[in-house]
Amino acid sequence: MRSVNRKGKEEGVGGLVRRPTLWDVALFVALFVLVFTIPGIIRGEKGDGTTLEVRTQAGVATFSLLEDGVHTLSGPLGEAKLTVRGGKARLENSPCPLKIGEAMGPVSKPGDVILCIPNRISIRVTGKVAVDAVSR
Amino acid sequence: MRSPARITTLALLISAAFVLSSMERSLPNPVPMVRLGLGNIMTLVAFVMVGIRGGVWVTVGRVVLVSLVWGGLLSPTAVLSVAGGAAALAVMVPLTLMAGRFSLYGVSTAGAFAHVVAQLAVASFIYVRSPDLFNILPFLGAAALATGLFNAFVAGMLVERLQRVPAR
Repeated sequence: MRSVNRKGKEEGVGGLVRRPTLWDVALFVALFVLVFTIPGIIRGEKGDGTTLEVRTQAGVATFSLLEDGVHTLSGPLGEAKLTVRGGKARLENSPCPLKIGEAMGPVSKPGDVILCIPNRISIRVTGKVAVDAVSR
Repeated sequence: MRSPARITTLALLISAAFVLSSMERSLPNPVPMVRLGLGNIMTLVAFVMVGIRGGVWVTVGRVVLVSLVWGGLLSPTAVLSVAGGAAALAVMVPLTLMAGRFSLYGVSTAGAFAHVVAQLAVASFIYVRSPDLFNILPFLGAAALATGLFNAFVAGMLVERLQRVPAR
């Protein structure tokens, strides 16, 4: 069923259909390495995982991961609950249609994230010293 | 270049890409944020069957249809879909031009990788306004490489079967 143009010449790139080449393998290895190095290049933060950095439309807030509590986070779709218990945090009652943010929790280690893109909320565990504060 | 056979083939591939993407979206997703990217299988098939322009048309058609049906043209779904599709094409087209060196496997995995990185970048800087999203790149990227291999395998099988159909 290869498409043929009006001059009777075959179109399409038939050379693609073949077994993986060495170039494919090299490319795959390079991409695999990139997958694990890009996050380190963008954010190389390490720490003890004591603080939650929460970004919403309203700004950036930090909460201690060491103190149990329930925080209300607002986004364009509505409110969600951030529950901290036993050094772990999870998103609950999210108004997002797919509930991906709820499925991503709980988080406790530095670099762990919970994301709710439709409601524009991101929660990240950092190693910073815990200081409850809100910066807008 | 605009032969009926070519237009019909493109229409079929765009339709199949849209159906596969829609099917994937409507099925339960056991792993958050990971998608197989089944629609890309048809782009790969189009590269082989109708050329690079055909592949571009299939991607553009799929992205427009998916955006219209699944959220609206300016929704986050549409913006992420356009970003992912554009980035995937930007990588897959040059690799397809080097068809002697790279096979469907290289083209597909590189496209899947570019798709994920572009979507994370757009989501990071437009919606979440934080680079936090890139912390999940190892997870999403590794999944994308695996799904890229799977899609290349399926596309290769499809092409082999379609090529048995005589040209008219």
